[in-house]
Amino acid sequence: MSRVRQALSLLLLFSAAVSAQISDYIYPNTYPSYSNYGTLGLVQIPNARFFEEGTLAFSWSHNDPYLRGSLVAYPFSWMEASFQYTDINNALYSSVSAFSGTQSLKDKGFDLKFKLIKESDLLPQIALGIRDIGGTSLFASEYIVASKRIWNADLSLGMGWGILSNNSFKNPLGKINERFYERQDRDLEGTIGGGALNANTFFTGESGLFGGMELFIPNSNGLRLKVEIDATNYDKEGREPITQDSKINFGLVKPLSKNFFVKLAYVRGNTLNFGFSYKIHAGKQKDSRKKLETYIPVENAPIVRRVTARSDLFTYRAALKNLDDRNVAMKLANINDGEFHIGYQQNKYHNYGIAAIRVLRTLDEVAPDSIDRFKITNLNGEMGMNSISISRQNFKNNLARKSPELFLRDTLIEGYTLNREEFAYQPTAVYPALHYTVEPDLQSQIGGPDGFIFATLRLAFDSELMINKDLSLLTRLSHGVIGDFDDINLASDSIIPHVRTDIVDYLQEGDKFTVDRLQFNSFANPYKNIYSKFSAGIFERMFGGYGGEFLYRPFEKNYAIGLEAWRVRQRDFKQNLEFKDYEISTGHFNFYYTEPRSGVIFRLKAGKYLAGDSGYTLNISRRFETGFNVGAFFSRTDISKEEFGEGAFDKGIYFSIPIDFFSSSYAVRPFAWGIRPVTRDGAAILEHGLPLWGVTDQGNRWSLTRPWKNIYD
Amino acid sequence: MTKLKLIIPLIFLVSCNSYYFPLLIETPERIINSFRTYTPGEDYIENQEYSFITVELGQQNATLVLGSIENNVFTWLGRDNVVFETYRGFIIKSIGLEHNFEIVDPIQSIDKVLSNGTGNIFYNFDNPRLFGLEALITRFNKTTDQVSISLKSNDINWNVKFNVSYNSNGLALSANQTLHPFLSPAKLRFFYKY
Repeated sequence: MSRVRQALSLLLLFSAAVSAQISDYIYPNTYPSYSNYGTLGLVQIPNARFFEEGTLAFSWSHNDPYLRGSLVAYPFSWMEASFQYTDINNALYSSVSAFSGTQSLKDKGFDLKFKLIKESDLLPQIALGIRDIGGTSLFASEYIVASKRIWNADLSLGMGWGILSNNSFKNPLGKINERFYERQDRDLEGTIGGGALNANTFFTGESGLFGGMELFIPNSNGLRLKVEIDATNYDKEGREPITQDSKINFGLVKPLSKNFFVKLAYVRGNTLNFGFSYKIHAGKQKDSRKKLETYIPVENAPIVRRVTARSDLFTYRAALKNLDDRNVAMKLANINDGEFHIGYQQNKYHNYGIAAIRVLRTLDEVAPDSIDRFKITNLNGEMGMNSISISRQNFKNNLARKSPELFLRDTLIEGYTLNREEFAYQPTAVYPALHYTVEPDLQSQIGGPDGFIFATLRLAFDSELMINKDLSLLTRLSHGVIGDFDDINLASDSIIPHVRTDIVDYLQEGDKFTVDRLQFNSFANPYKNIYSKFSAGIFERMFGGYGGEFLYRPFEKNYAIGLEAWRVRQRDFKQNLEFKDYEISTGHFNFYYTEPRSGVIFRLKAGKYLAGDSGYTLNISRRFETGFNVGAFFSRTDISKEEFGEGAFDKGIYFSIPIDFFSSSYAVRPFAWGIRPVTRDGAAILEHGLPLWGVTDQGNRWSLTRPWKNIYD
Repeated sequence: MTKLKLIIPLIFLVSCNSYYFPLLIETPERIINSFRTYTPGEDYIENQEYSFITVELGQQNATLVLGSIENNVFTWLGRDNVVFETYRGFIIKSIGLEHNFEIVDPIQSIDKVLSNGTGNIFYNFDNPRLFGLEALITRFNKTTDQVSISLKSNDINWNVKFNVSYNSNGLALSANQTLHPFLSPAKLRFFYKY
């Protein structure tokens, strides 16, 4: 028997099928890699490759005279979006030494690449990309590129415009429209304004060919050789011409792990460069750190059940204690006709399903046999969010099978409007109740003319004081410990009310103790699916006042409609309790829509902004099963480009990752990062704490059940 | 021209940056742990009812309990459906890891290698699947209480190492073994309760 198996194995080894499988071991780690430009490609030129959707990457390269760091996101498998910062060592930040001293030029860039055709056995993968969209366009180019993997070589061939047009020929698009023959000169001085779009230049002017290959070296754990014919026009790229002695670039890329790559290349026939890249699959649960906080079963559960069988009061008390031991606050409870119904609140798990399963497990462990059904209602303050109801037997069966699908099938999930009269047991809450954290807070300022980076370390005190069940106080106080914001000299040049551009004054005068937030809130859920919030106090670093918002968010629907209105006054630069003279009424109509299959969330705000301008903000993001969120926004208001200033209109990109993605413990809070190319006063939105859209996240079926497949942790 | 290049909108970031710190606190802990060999305390060993093994695989570690012994093949069961099978201290099969392997005809192969000090071992892998990969013995060293074997698969340039130490009864005490091309070597310690 064993000889037969061995013979069969040998036979398989030499079959064609095995050859295909063995290549996965001969050429492991054949993920695409980053070019010097900071997007996926060869040495300098792009290719048509993409990472999996939900991937987030950082790429860094030193390719003299450029030092470039890029943050790259893949919101979809067909889209690559990157933001880069380039330190240009052969040019000064400005020609005015009093303005920027001897600091080298810094350039921001935003790129997009879209997959047009997916690779198949016969067809290559084809992508279209745009580099350095908007602004000074020092690296602006557009391209269409095809990539095809043939055995251990990934071949790429493309056509570029703009900076990627060195091997130039007449633009074929000119045959469609003659305007494609001429390319508008770049705005090197930023007179149009850094950050302004320059879409009229796309695919115009001369075009050029580029190509190359990424050759994977066998049995070298992913080492690959890159060779390319460069199409970069070094006479026009950047600020000053760069000497090019050869159009052939070559380099080596070595994966040190599945996610961390280092690279070394020789470009232009005269320059050695190096770099690295690191990626995470922030959208995939299996790539998050394994949690060690497993569910702790109730000790001596059979004895507890014997006790709770004597009285409903004992059942209630056992549930109250054991849930509290597991970081779940039981607010309400009722036992009727074999159903144990509780209202609970938790602030530990951002995956609401995990919280629900753990609550049900505890109830199952403490409840007497007479209970045959559980109903758990999630509360946020005095607002009911959702209600999950399941028979005890089904819960037990599904827990044994760890089947989220069966759990969903056997569970009644619905929206819930709080009615305290339904509950016989209501634990007495002690008011005021204070929850607080003290933590360091690092603030930074990057890219100004006075220096590339300024930072300060502060100590922050965050708290939420529950004054009574209807009123809370959200506070953030901080104190500067060390920093160098005093060295920033930049003053606002805005010609509209300075609602944001006085940031330097706020940073410098608020370098000691500041009241960052002191916001009284009253939340309510007056009618089914309608939520309200009234707030007063200090909302943010720059504004305080009063106002409120309403939100209509049907549990079963994928849309929500909101309205908010505020009367606010600008705060003193010292950020204590004093205010300046500027005050304004601001408010917005809000519309939210979630596309359930993709997890894409559209948020439209329309109304009046802090500087008095009116218009709209469109915010589009994608939320993955891990809670990873990546998005972009832009605003258009009724002020002119001149009034807005540099950048022409407000826009930005952002992402957030739940911090427990990297941790072995559960945590609700995310690490968030966002960037605007330029901070201006137009389209400035009041940043009040606890907006209803976030507070009512659990009051929606999609938000509740989206990450359901990971509930049995 | 005054160019206002305030790149990071502070309002955006003020409430975010501090979220870094739990990471910074955890990272050194992870680094320190990665240098520390996982050793169960004496109380822990004393209190165990059944024989068990501790496994270190990269920066992860686990305890697996003896489930059965059949034909001298020990089956060890762990959390998350991880299963190891060992024969004479050699891991001959894994289940439930990100990448799993099995030795083809393990008893015959290992007996032959241990008695002759020459020959080969055939492997099956999953993720990605590969059947019947041959590894040839390049070095063999055997004493009464220890066996060290090196193998190489020329097909995928994979080096395999086995180091097993035994007690006076011939039971494996510890093992250090390459499992799969995409996994770090596994370190096993055996604790018997019989």
